[in-house]
Amino acid sequence: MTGFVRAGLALIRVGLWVWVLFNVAMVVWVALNSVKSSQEIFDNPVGLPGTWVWDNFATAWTTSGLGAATVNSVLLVIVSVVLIMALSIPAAYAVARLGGRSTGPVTMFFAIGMSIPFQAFMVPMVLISVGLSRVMIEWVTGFWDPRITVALFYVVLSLPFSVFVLIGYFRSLPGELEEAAALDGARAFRTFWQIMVPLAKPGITTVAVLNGLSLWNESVIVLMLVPDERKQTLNVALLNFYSNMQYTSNWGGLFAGVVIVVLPMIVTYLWFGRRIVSGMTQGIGK
Amino acid sequence: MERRKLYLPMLLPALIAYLVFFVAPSLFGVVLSFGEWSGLGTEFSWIGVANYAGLLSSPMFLTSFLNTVMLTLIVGVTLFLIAGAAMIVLRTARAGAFIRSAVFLPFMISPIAVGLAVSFLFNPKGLVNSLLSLVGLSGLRQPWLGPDLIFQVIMVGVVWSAAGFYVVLVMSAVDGIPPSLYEVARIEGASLVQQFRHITLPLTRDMIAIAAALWAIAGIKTFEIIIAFVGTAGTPPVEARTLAVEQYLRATGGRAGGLAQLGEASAIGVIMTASTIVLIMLSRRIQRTERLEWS
Amino acid sequence: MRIRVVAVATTVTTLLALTACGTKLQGDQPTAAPKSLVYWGKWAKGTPQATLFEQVIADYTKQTGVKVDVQWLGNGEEEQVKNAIATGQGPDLFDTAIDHTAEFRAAGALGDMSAVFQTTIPGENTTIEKVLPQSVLTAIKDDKGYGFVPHSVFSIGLWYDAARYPDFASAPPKTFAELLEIAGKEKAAKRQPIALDGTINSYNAFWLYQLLLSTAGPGILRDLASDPAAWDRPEVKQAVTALQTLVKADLFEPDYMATKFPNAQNAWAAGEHSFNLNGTWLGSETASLRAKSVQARIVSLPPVDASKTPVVTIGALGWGVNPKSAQQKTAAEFLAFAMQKKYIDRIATDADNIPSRTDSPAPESLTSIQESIRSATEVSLDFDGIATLKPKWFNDVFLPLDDKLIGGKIDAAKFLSDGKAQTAAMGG
Repeated sequence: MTGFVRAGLALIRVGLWVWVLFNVAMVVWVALNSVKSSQEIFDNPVGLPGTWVWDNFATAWTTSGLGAATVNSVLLVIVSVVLIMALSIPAAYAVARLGGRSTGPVTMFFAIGMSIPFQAFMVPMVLISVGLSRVMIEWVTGFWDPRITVALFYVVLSLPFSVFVLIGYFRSLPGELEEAAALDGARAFRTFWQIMVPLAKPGITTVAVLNGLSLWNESVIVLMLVPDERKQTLNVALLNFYSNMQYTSNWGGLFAGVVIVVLPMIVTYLWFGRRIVSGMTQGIGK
Repeated sequence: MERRKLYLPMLLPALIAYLVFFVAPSLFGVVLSFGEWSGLGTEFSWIGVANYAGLLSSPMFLTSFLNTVMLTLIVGVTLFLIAGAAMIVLRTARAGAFIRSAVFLPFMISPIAVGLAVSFLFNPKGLVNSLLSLVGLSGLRQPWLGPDLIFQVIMVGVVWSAAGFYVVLVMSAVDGIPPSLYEVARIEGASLVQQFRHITLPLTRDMIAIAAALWAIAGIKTFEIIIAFVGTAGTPPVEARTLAVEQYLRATGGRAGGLAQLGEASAIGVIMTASTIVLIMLSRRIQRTERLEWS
Repeated sequence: MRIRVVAVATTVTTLLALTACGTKLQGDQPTAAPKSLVYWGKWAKGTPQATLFEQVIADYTKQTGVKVDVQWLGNGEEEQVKNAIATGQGPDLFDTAIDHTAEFRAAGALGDMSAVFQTTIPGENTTIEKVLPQSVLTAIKDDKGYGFVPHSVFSIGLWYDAARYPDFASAPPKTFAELLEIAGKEKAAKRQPIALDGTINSYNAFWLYQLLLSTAGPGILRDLASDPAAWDRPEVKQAVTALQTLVKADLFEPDYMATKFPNAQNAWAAGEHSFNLNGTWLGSETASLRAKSVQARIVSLPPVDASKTPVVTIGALGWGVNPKSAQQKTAAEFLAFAMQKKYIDRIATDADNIPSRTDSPAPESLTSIQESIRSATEVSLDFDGIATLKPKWFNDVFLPLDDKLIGGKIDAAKFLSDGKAQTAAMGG
């Protein structure tokens, strides 16, 4: 029996390492493909490239507008995440610590939003987008940019999850500090800003990182709301590039595109990887 | 009381944004699902539940619905098993932090890149078949992207891209368990598996329930990876369509420039929401009713 | 090429209808502005077409002083054009294609083009209409007249390796059966003769549709889509059976239903297979991967029944004119300028496609099919245009069943009975 169990455990360990190796191998494989000629990708899927086609990167960069797309992606994600946090941190704190009897229902109200896939209001979303830009152009600002609408929907779509998780986090914090601060005569907002927010930092980091991740990888909403290629994000640029590559059969260039899109994520990850994972651990594990 | 005065100013901005741009459009989506409409210049007409009735009698829709449920359940169970296995060994494993980081990696990569790379592996002359031949298993070579297998292959891709996230998620709960509990268990001679059954599992049930709910939410709307898998040149084969893909096809009138079926698309959105809610309710049953207290 | 990408619900954007009705846009056409045209193109920057058109624009501006502001919008271009025109904005000129005529018409993005077609081409003493072959004019016309000015035309045909089959140019196989025989010989010599990217369902459907065209003639898909009884016609059975024979003979490449597009067409270009039934665009798409020994050429697919009039499938790409544009005349003049022989010739030499003009020679590989187009008396749109007319039937009934038939999952009899039943269930 124990021998059997031990074998099972060994198998799981081996399995985990195989998984790790596979992930690393995938990254290497994609990287190698990005410097192969298209012909070689098919003829020689494994192994080092016969000739190193660094031109693939130049092709990918120049023909697909990945440069502008990178700027769009970075801006959209940063602006959206900042707004998400600015809205959800105070809201979650209010619900968790100041809500009294309304805490339960309000939490539930936000939680329901988590179960609604955005596909459920895809059509209204487009309507709002169009209406908003017309109203702004005609009566308010005189111009409008669909990227602002995308940011708006990124924010509201991320709210349910963010508020829900942060409510849980604020509730798990010990109340004594708050009471002590109140006794010291600290104003309520200062208590929130200078005591509770720093305490909640792991949770806040996690929520911010998870939102950033999923928004970085989002593509459908951009496809729907932003028709102009120059205003689209990296993932969409990759998809467009993909569909163009199919017709020119420049697969090496496509893989170079994949590397360009994925590389920043991997580098960020190598940099912060531990912190992201441990942040999640502290953040959600509470 | 001063603290109470802060309640509304802090809550309202988020609540209003949520109400105006999330809740209201969702309700409007429900309204649209009772109508027939193709957008610009076309007339909107009320047709009651005809969209729903039409969908329920459409083999395409039923296949996509079944595919979605299958994907969510099968991938869900697989993710659960992987996460469970990881929980047993990862707590004590050397290089545990490194493993966590490495398995989390695919989750960070866009589903489009994942679908693209994985589908390439499974090309008839691709890496998978080449490797099978290389190790003398050419009998196992398959037309992976053909109609019979493509959905299974897509599910493998989904598992690969998502598993790391759920491992890290449940491990975060495992880390929250006081080590003293395990010490006591060790002194009493409990094996790793026994420790898992009597300590880890009961104390992480809440997190597993959360993970299950998060997966239900994510699984039901699987979309990008399939588009990247089948490429953008054709219509995804019926065998590989999920609800989100089917909705997309109806919302755009197919790839070949037909009229959009916006009412039907909205109805599929409503059905997706309903499915998610059912799955979340099921996942809540994992949660213990009586809370375990430690510390 | 003609297939749209994930322009996802940019179609959904179409919705602006509601909001668009009441109000008037501030930024409407500035009527008194100096002459300049706005042109929205679909080509990716750097493609031969984009480069050519930029050249045309530069020349035009130099000669007339009229500026043309071109924006290459990529794959979402059609949706953007429709939506913009519907709200009173939009370009003066835009890229379009035959398969978009119906939706553009419905959205009011195409108007009366007769004046444009009568415009004289500079230095040629003739009009746009007169330089185009009759078959192409027929194809780009619907009940409201011409939809757009075509610069490139397409067709579907059998690509083959002329190095292997040098006589095909002068004496192609006369019937489908003869082709099967030739392919069968290759098969006997241990070579899979036909390449097919079976994961692209419309490419699969080229086979059945071209066979149907040769037995039942154009319009057959419209009949099949609307009338369950049409499935019982002997010509339909004849074509379906011919396809079944091909499938049973196992002449396609191995695992053809599972190839990662464009693996099969690349393998064909590399000389691993001799044949590929595909669009005239296949040559340019695979040019970079072609083996030196391979001479890619295209002919019409040999008919099942040689006694019937041959039908040619015609597709076309071109320029549409916004009916709400304040610069109709300038737009027409620009198009006439662009239709000069010296520019349209370059559709062949630069872009490796068939030029729309009768007198512009096609690239060598495409000459045979260009000849078929010039001389065609009967033309059909790709899939009878059914993809736009009845997308649901096309996507949900025809393509899935065709995939099963060509994948060898069902036989001809089952295909016919299922098709009939499903068409009936869809309410014709």
